[in-house]
Amino acid sequence: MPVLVALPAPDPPEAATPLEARSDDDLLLLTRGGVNAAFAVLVRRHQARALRVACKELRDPELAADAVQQTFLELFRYLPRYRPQGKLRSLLYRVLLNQIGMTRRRLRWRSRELPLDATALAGPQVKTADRPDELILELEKSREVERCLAKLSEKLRVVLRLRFSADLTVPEIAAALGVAEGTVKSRLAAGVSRLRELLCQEAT
Amino acid sequence: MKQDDTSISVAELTLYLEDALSVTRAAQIRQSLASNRTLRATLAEIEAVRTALAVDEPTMATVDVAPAVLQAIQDERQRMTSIATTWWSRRLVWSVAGTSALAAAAGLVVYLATAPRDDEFTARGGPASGIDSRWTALTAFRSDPTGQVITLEHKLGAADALLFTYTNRGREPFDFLMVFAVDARGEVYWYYPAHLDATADPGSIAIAAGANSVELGDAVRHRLPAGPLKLIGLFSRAPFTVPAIERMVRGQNVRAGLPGQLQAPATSQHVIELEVLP
Repeated sequence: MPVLVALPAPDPPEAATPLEARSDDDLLLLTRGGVNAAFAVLVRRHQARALRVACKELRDPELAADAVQQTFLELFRYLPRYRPQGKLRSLLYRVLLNQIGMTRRRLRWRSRELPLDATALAGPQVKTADRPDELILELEKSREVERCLAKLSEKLRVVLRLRFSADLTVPEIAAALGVAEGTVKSRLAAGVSRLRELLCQEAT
Repeated sequence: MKQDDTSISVAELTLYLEDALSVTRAAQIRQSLASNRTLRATLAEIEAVRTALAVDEPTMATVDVAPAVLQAIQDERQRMTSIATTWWSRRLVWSVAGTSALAAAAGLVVYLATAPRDDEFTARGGPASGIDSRWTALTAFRSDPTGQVITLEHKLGAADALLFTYTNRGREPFDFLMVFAVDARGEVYWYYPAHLDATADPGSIAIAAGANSVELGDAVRHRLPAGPLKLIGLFSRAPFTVPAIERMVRGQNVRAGLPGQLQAPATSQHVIELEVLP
């Protein structure tokens, strides 16, 4: 076997950049070149938000983890066709939304309808006795918002989810959903407006 | 609340928080917020909703899917390698069968055409791939010990690192690429896949299609012996493994200083003949 002296080479300067400091596109190109560690960095960079979105949409941590894992695998399979244009997040969430949709359909097919009605949206049960009050209140507030969010139409709900749970920008959401930026803004405005109405109704 | 504050809706406040309003309208809202407590309370409610949507369920805090994803990728790469081996075997069988039939037909035509004039028949070998390589390109750059990166032409230093870009276009672009060099003794030096562990059994890298030039991520440096060196970029539709290519190089006696390229079907190859300076 040949001896590989340096990988990457000390020059040019970008070769010395640690993986964690590299852009998403750089990491994908490195993965394409066979550097698995680059993909691990990419997964760890994006998994927290992706898991948040999946967990809130699917209401089941295990299903959420499966959907996110499958999303990253799909992303890996897509690598040969990926064009490095800084649009990874849009692609990632487009794939994730597909995975979530597929999971739902699979569950419906198995007659295990997901608890999308408001009464069943308590979220995963967690032990809260040893948690500070503030955190419990925050969690309760979050679940209350989630119950109301589930009453919105899917179009509005998905935009709110991508904007506030995944922290995507308006152009990123537009790219992920394949709609105009103006449409995203109007759905965002309408969604928050409707959500606030529902929260007010629930409070009374 | 001022007269015009009533026209500020929740939807508009949402867009205000998104910085999606005109400068003039945003300034009007800012002014209203400064003087209107109710409006400020509404804005605070909207912000609370936004915050609530970003709260994580505690059960997800420690979840890390990276190990499972990497394991699945590893399994997938192994599966691809075994598919490549199967694919290669099938291609070889079909290639042998097809080549035999074609050779027989061609031989008959040549025999009929030339027999009356000359009994001697010499078969001519053609390039293995038979694929138009105009649609693919591989450009090499060398990085010398001073760090200067320049396009590689015919000579490089023994300590130079190499970098590459490729283009892969056409109606049927390729899916995989390998870049390696062969010295005068037939020793193979791998650039892509760039691997440090020989036991990992690495394979072709997956590549993108498109008219634009794509830069491969890293510079790779080998201890190269002085003398001739043949650099080969191998574009293929199915992945090859490093051991498979090394076997082909040995079997076909591909060496720097000798003419020819690798006899690999359904590939596009770019060969650069180089001289390594000590």
